[in-house]
Amino acid sequence: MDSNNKNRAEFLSLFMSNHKAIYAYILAVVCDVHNADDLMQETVLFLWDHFDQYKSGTSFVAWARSVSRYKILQFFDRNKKEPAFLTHNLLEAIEKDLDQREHGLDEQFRILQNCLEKLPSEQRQLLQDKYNKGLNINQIADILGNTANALYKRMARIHLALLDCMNRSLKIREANP
Amino acid sequence: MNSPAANARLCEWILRKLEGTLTAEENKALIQLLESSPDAVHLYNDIILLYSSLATPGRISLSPKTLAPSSKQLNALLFSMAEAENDAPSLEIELTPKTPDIIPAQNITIEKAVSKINTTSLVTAIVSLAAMTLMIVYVILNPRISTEVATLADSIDAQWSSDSPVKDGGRLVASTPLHLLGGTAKIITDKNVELLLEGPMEFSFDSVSELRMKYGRLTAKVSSQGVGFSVNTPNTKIIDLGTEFGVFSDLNESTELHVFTGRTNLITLQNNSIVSSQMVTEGLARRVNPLSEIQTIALKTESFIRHIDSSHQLILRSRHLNLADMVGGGNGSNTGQLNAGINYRGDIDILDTVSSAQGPEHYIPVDSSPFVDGVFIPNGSTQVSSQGLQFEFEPTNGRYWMGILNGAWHKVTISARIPRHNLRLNGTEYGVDGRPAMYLAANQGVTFDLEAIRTYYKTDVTEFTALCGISETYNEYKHLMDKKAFSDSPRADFYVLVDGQCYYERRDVTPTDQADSIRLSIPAGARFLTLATTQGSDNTNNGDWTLFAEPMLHLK
Repeated sequence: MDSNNKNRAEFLSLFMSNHKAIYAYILAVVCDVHNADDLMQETVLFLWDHFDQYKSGTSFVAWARSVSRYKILQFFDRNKKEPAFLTHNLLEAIEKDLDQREHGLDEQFRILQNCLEKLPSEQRQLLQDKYNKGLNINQIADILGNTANALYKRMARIHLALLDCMNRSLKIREANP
Repeated sequence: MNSPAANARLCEWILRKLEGTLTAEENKALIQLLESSPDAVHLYNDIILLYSSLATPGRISLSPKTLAPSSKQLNALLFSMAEAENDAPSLEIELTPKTPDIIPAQNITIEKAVSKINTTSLVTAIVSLAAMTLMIVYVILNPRISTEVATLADSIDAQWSSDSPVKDGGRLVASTPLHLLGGTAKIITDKNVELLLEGPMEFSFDSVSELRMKYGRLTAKVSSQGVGFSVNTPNTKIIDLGTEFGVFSDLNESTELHVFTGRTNLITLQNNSIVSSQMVTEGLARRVNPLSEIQTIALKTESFIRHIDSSHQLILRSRHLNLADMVGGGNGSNTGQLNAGINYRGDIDILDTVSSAQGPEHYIPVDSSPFVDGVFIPNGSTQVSSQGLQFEFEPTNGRYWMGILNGAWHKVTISARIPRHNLRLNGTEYGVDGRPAMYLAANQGVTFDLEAIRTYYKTDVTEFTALCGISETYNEYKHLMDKKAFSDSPRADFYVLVDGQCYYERRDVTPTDQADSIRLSIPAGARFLTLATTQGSDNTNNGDWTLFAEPMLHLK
């Protein structure tokens, strides 16, 4: 493997291991799906273009996070009409909270899979409409003939039920390592 | 912050915020809550992590907003998309039921070794990675469903090759080659992109947002949900940026793009490398030749299907309906008979006699067309619809010439020798192929049933457009007319009514006046559209060769 291919393999390996954490961070800071998608794209391209600046062995997530923070600042600078969602103090609080759990994301993803399978099929269908078909909640409400307000409440309950299931599973695992 | 109700409210706010539907007040309350409660911050992150796990992490999108910042990034991304089918790692996902705690099995096989590193190959890999992640989530949520991307919504005389049989209502799966041998088909993707195809055509879906055509002709109408949909031909990639467009591709690797509304990004390719990229906007058309050179060509709106409906065996090549055609017994898409029209028995028949007659004093319903409500002779207070709507016209002599004609010709044989000739407005002859007109010689009126039109076409009507005036040919023949009965400068009035209300009025028009262009918005739910002409202040309908040229009703 020549150095370029090694470089590429290393980047892909790091990216594949950490992309969920990078995306979650961006989403947490901007709290808007469309902006987060765009910023993720800009961040990844920047990371690759400047991968020679990354020091092997250091935290890829921390580097990616600093890049995405810079991209987010640029984004809000470009889009004056779109005020930043989080204040500085709140951003710190969110980062601190994320730091405490980032390393367990893959584990959480596996647990999520189990919890999804336990959901009633009707609820799973709603999630499928939203996340697989890419529909937003207003569109799903239109299709189902519900009001968007009612569907947001229902979606909130489903998400909380999933979180509850995941938290219980994590506690069981902690108790039975 | 631990009560279920408070958690539910916070979760709802976060979902709304993520989707951009949170109100300013709720946004303020959300921030206050997060600033005051570490538990709320913890739950906020829980929900964000859950959301990002379920959504497509880091989806590489081609939204306009994304494309704006850097042409280099744009090209890298577009290029990667263009060559994704060649370079992307293939992906197989085991669909058998999973045991708990085991992630779905995936076998990733790199089919081609990439010998050179560049940004595009990296981005290709990232695209594949994002797609892979999406597939994993998809399989988790519904292990049994394959990658269906669209539905065959309708078809007329469609013949599919035996190795790709498709039935109306059938689901279409990505990466499956489809061969439409003949006929027409309407496909709606799961992102609400409407595709109208004309055989022969060979194509396949790469994904819900991407169609690849080897050759054929299609029209794409892209909803806001489907923005970013792309059509790939052997030498182009056409990316929709919110639009309706037509693509024609032949076997010689020549592609035509015709943009009817909105805008598209046309990328030309050669050996999977980007040659050029340009925006093509509404009303423009481009041809990409086999050398991938872009040429400007004339927009051909009628070359592409805009609507099909098998229940009426209906194929429309425009989004507007010809009202003159309806007068001739058609459905607005040139299925009626030229030079046929409505007489005052309410029948549709060939009208070949130009004579003046006293008209009926009451409204005449027209049962022989589902789209025409009725006809009438305007004279003072006059009924203008079958539901009894009245309109106050100027008093007239109650006489009319000929009837209401799908066409535009006139002749005089008794009082003078004026040959049959086509009528003309602003130098253009009407009542011929491609230039329809309704000859509505004063004093006459016709009312169309908009509700029947909506029901038939399963869509709303938005506008009425036409050109109206007295034929300028009158000036060429006036020296032959009987001076006692025909003036040198006849006058006439034009009216367009919606539900009995006047939306357009032009008084005392003469053959010397320029024809006037009409463009009216039709309010949602309006029931009747009425066109009428009256004799004007000269108090006679003699010489009133009044016509509505290209009288079009526009569909939504």
